Amino acid sequence: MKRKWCLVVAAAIMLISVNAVKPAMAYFTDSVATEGKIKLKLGDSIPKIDEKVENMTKKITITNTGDYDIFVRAKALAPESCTITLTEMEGWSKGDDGYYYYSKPLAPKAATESQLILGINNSLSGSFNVIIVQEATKVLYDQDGKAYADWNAVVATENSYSTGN
Amino acid sequence: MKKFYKNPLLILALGLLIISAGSISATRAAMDYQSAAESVNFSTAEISVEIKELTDDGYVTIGKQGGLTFPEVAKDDSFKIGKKYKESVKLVNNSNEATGYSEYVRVVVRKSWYKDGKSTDLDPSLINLEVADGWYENKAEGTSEQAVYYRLTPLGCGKEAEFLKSISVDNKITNLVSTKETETSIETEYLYSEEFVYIQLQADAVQTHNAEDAIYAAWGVKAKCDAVDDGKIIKIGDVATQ
Repeated sequence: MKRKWCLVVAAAIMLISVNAVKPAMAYFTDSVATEGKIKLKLGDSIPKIDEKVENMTKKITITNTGDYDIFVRAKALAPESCTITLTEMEGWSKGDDGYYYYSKPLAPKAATESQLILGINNSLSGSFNVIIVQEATKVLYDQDGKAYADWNAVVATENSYSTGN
Repeated sequence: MKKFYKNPLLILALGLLIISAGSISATRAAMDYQSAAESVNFSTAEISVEIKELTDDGYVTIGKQGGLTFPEVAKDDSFKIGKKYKESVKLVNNSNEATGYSEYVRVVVRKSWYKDGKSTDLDPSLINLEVADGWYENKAEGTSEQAVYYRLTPLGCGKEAEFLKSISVDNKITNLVSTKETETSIETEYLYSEEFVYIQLQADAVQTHNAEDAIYAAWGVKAKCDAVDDGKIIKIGDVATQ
């Protein structure tokens, strides 16, 4: 009698299993997966200035010493009696905020292709300082890949040179 | 007579004789049938889908053979933050042409930041993937890391559908820094520097016959179609798709 029950239970389990498997195998499916990675590098680069002073004229070159592309700009801090005049050079232009902007981004280890040439004229006699502050900001891109600068996030250094008598 | 029933050997012999006769005639019948039906071909349906990425050599199948290569990104010295890079990825119904079945397809997109493992503290929504027209995003299955897109109409056998158009990273990440202060200086460190943008694509296909049941059984999603077979998906969950 016990054996008979075992057989009935086994038959029932088998029926249930067959019914359970059937719907799972009833639909045709396929699946494929893939993946990919892109490395991101972010950081700041310090702009290094190289200045030459001749005949009350400063000739400035800025070099990107870091590992990231940057835009650079510079500002001349001088006494009110001083007039600073920009000599037109390709790539350099004066902004409304008193900074001189270099239009092209600088790649790592690259320097400005043209010099920033500033003429200094002081209406008063005596010794004075003209300080050049150079700043850099990382290169950002718009959706079309056009480079632009965000000057709200800058890395700055400054050079002070005494000039005149 | 009683002796005959009681002799098990006789019963066995009779049984064997009946079985032998039966199997011989069955074999003969099968052989006859086979020779008559030689020209009948029977094959089951085969549903298949593949992912292809546009490279300089045209569209290349990826998946089991290899991963996404992001060819336009590779052309730049480094990945430019904010720039939208063209990244064309499409799905192809490469099912058995002899049976020629259409299929419903969907793509599960997972994006994250990865360094020595998944960087769970960084925001995946800063990774932007532009999906082509014709795909419906089921927000109910979405998270900041995952999005699920459905092709609402069946993809015919041999047909293809563009899925991905471009990839970019939000400029916002350049403002996300951590600072370390010492007595003499403040050091900033970019949170996303040296991180990898990590993209996973999973393409699923299911038959279009008995559409609603098939979709539910395969993907666990209750969809409503405008026809029993090969229809357009008009509802996913409780949300209309148009």
